[in-house]
Amino acid sequence: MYKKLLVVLGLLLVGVVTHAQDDAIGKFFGKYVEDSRFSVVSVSPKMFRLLSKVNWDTIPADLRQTVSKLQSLRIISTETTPYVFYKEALSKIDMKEYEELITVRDKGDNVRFVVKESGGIIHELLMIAVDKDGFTMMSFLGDIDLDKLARLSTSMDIKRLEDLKNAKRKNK
Amino acid sequence: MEREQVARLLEKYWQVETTVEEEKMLAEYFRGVDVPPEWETYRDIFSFYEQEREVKPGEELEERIMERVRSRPRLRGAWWGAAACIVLGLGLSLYQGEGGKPVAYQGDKPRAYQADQPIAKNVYKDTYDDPQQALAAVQKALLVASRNMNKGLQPLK
Repeated sequence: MYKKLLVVLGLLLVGVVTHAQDDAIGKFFGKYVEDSRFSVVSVSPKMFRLLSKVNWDTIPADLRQTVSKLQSLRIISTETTPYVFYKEALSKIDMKEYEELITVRDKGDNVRFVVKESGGIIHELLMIAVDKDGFTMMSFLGDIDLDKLARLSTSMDIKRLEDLKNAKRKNK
Repeated sequence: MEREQVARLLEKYWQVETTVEEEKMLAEYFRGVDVPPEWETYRDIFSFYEQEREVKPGEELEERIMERVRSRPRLRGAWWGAAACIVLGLGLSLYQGEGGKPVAYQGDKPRAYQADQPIAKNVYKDTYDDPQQALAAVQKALLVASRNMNKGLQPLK
């Protein structure tokens, strides 16, 4: 009787503890943050606040707005057995919490975007990508404007292209 | 065994470098009769060890131990354990519930927000100390995410 009680209480406690780090990337991070096979990038909310002190003049307005609404960024990636870790990462995501946004499956090239949303605002964007060269999991927290984010790469690529043109011209 | 050999082994013995075999050899030697008088003390030491090895626990020892184990009130600590579990659980869930949703931002620059809690639980050490570098990393990450998003949207266009 007592023993059963103890077991139940123990399980309850375990439940509470695991609940404390239920977010997918958090779990994954916790497990592999010290693992040498992984490279990790973490930008904390504190650092995001410090970002406002950086010189923003060279940064395109679109990007500036997007960055300013972020609170934290975490990336974990590896080149070892990418598909294994991709599977593990997917299994750790509680789909009750996330909403599927985009799934691309192109042969060995898989990308998934899932989001956490409340009140029409996306608070977390989680990207999980894998191809034969590596696995990447990326989590943005904050207030995320998907349209703006999608537009980002096109506008930046164009800008980079123009820079390249200009540079070539200067060389002549 | 030669005297010199015994002397050498003794030397090793006191340096704690002898092997089990060598110690057995020493014990055997000192059990013998032709131990020189200046080593008489060693004979006592080694024979003491030998004797001690012969001492076996009495028959009733196990009985006595088991009796103690059985008669101990086994789960007196259980209630304390249970209480501790509940307190811990409550504490943790309170800690969970404390932080609200991230505060929405206005304007271009991040506003200091009050509710660090929901994020703080999963915050890891900053990779960069330099905001400039951090910004570059964020930029790159956003670009990668954006590219991948477009990859997904392209077939629709």
